Amino acid sequence: MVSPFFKHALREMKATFGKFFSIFSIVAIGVAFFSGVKAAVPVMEHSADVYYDDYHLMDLRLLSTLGFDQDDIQAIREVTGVEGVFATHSMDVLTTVDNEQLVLKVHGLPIASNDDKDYVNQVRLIDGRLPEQSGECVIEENKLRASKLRIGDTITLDTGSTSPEHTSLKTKEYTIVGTIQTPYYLSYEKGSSAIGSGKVDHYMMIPQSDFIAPSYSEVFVTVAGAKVPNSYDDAYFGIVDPVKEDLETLGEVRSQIRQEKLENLVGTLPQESKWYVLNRKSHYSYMDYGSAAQRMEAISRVFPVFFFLVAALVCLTTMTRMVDEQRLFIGTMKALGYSGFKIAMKFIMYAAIASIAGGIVGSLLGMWIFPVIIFHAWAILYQIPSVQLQFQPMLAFSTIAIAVCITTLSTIGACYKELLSTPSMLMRPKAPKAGKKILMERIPYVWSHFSFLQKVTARNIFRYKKRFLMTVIGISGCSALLLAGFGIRDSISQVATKQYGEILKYDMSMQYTPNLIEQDKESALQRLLAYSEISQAISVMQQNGTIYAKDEEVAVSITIPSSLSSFSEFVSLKKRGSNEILDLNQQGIFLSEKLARDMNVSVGDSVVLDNGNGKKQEALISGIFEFYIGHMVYMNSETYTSLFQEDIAITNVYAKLSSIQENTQQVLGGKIMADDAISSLSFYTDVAKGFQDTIASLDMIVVVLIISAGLLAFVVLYNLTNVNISERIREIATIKVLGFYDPEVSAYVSRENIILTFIGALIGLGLGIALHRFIMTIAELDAVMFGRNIEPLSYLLAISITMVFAILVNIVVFRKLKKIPMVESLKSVE
Amino acid sequence: MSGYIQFMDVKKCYEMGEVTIEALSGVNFTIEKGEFVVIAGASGAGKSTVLNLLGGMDSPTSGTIFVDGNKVSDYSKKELTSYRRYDIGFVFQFYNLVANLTVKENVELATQISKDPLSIEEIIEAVGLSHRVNNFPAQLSGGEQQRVAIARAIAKNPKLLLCDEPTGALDYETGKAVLKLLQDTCRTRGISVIVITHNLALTQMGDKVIYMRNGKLERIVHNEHPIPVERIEW
Repeated sequence: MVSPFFKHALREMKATFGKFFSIFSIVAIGVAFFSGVKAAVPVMEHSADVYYDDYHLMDLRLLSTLGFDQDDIQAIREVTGVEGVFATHSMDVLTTVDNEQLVLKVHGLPIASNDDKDYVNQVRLIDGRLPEQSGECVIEENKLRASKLRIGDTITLDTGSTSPEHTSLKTKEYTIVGTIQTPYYLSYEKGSSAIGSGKVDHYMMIPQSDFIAPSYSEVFVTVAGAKVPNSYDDAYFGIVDPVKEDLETLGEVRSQIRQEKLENLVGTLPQESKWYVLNRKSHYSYMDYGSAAQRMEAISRVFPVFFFLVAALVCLTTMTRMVDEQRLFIGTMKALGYSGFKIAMKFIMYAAIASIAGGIVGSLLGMWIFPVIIFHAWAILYQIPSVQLQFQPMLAFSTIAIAVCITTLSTIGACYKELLSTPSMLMRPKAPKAGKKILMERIPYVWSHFSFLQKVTARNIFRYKKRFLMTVIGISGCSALLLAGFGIRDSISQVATKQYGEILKYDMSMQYTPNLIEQDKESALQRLLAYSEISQAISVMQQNGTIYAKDEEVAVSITIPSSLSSFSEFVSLKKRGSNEILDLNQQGIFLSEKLARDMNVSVGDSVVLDNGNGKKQEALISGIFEFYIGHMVYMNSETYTSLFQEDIAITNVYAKLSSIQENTQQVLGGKIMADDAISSLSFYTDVAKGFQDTIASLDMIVVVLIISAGLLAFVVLYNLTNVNISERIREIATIKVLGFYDPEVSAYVSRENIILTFIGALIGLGLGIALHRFIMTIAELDAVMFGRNIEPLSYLLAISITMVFAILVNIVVFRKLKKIPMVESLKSVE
Repeated sequence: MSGYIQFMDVKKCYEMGEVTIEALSGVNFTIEKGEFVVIAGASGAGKSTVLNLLGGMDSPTSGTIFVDGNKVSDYSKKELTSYRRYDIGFVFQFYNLVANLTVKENVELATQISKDPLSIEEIIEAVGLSHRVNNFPAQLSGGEQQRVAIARAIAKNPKLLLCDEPTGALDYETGKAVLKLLQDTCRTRGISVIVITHNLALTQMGDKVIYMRNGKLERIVHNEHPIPVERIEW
């Protein structure tokens, strides 16, 4: 009994290909988005994990206040579960490259084969070769920040200021022999440092044997069997954590022994020996990348709801139309004695086959395209060699199942009324939906100003509510995606222009040589001001500190200007959205916006501020200012003095140049570096330029969003007009017979589409603003605040592109309308 | 041979896949201005094809059609649209009113595009629907709906009023009233009215009756004294 039915349904699909295609494509798009974005999260994690495993990233990192000796290492090796042990050194050093002071993290690299299980935290050689002898080094390859260091260059390390202090190197001169990447540092940010600017700028690796130290400063350990699970899964920690606990127990024993040994040697110790056993959860890169993946998860929860809503509406309108067209069939089947359920099965089957086909195509494409694109978008910020795609059958299956449920429910919703009516009623033609006055007609003022055809359009728009909803929701989604796409570009490109154009208005920053007395600094400032290239300069105190509020602890940069009179010409501190410059004369401290947001504090709250010299004081927040890169605290010198009971010590000079040409900068840089009182300088024009380059890579995301938006618009509009034309074919034929010219007929039908599209596009702008905010919040890095602005041009583009999609669909419709045969369409009763 | 409307050796063939069906195989007739013409014949005789060609909904495969001195058979698609727009009024068996428009608006739909339309109020009055002006089609009876359709056709002030089985879906009394309206329109306004029917009783009301069979003209009968529709019984 099922078989002729099944055949009938299959033939139906051929005959009504337009409808089948509507359901098929909206399900394909919805499933592609859902499964694609969702699959991106495990793909991101898996790609990183493969990288970690391939390059033996440590599972545990051991630190000790007094370092590790050979006996400690031997003891660690003997702990069950420990596989590879790499005892090594690392230190922070300063160097000056092109007049700019950089903090380098120096790691030891064993000269060992990659198969050596004790070679933990292996490196990936990008260019050149690995160091083979003393005085050779490799540095990081970083596409984000065009480094001034090249293979063959020699770096001179300033070993006078290092951290930890007791470690030193055999040589200060290092020749760069290659560039590398390592899973130990995935992200652009490499953590903080106790020296220099307070932030690690680059890392370099030198032969392990170049370190001179009484003991090892850190030990990297791999755990047996820990490579099997994905290290972002709980199962991974199930393997690693028992070993971590055993090592902690060992640490207590060994600390005791070591402490006694040292006390016998040197008498009393300045500090107690203590081991720290850290798993990957304490590793910045691992956690930072993991949280990026988790933020993607949040995005994957928002998009699908929307796409599935549109899918439900498309399916509902399509199936409603189909059921209407098949009243006679339903009536005949009922009269023959088929049950309502069996008849409904035909329609359900139709929708289900379309959904399953669409779902399979969608999930295959989606789970391939989206993870690749998302991975590459994040690759701007995180260095991972290659994307490791995974087909996730459970995800594909459950997504398709959801889609089928949605379309089945819509289908039941579309046909249950017909299934309840009697065969005789079904065999009579359905009374056309009665015309009705719309609300607008009750406002005579508005209504009487409409032309006749405008009235017709207005009625039709409000007559079909499902279609109205489907179009408005679908199109609003389209323009929201477009606006978000363009907005992302606006906001990120704004970071550099605002930060280095509007907020930080100085062109260069110089650091005084440490330990100069105030008079020398003053005379150095006078010398700087004498250069014709420098138009203005101001001296400031800059210091690395820490802020504590509630449970949060954030490293900050504290700046105190020496004088407030001209400071606003160098740094313009404003509340975002306001033109008023904050008055630094007020007592209390001023926080950068992202910092305040991360710490969840506002003006009037108090926080504890550590000034970096070990003094902690509670300070009142007097203002919060717009700031995009870095966590900053500003205050006036009186506030600083009264808080910490010490005078400010000038450290830096900010200067504005009369010309920002590159060669002017080089000449000036050379002259200033000859001055003993200045230890380093940096120009901000370079920084802004480097940031601008990264924005180009965002274009890909914009393209993806435009394509998605276009697909969405086409499917929705195509379906709308398809249903509209088939339902109103008699009406269209009638007006053709009446003598409407082709363009008039087209306008008669398209005007509604265009108006609905326009309403949808406008609503979409509102949605787009929300979507944009959401995406920006999620994509934001730790110490960077992205803008929230969208340029007027982007609004215009979002609306125009949406309208272009609508016009393209209407061109297709125009062709279709021309082909409608008048005679045949009018003869038969529906 | 001269007349207001001339059909000269008109043929119409339809391609149905590989088969060619000849719907009209050489038809000749003339119709004068202001005549009330009935075209009668069994279904498939080619009545509707004649009407569609005359109404500019289709072009003949060969032969010539003149209407008021214009060679309609040579018209392009666009010219045919203009011809329908300005010269033709159509009335169908199933009314084909636009469901979403009121009575008045349905008539307006036609007058919107005419050069010299009649007054909408007058026409609605003439078809006796003044009290229904603001109703939607679904609120009207079949006869009322057909009267709206006639009003819509007449309001354009056409040269020809073409009616394809206008009473086919109506009951006896209502059908009669509709036919009376058509006959009166013809007499008072001087519009040529051409009505298709398979009801042979109705032939008595035409000035001229064209009988068709199998795509050919069977015969043409001139009624010197057409009978007013009220007096016809069937």
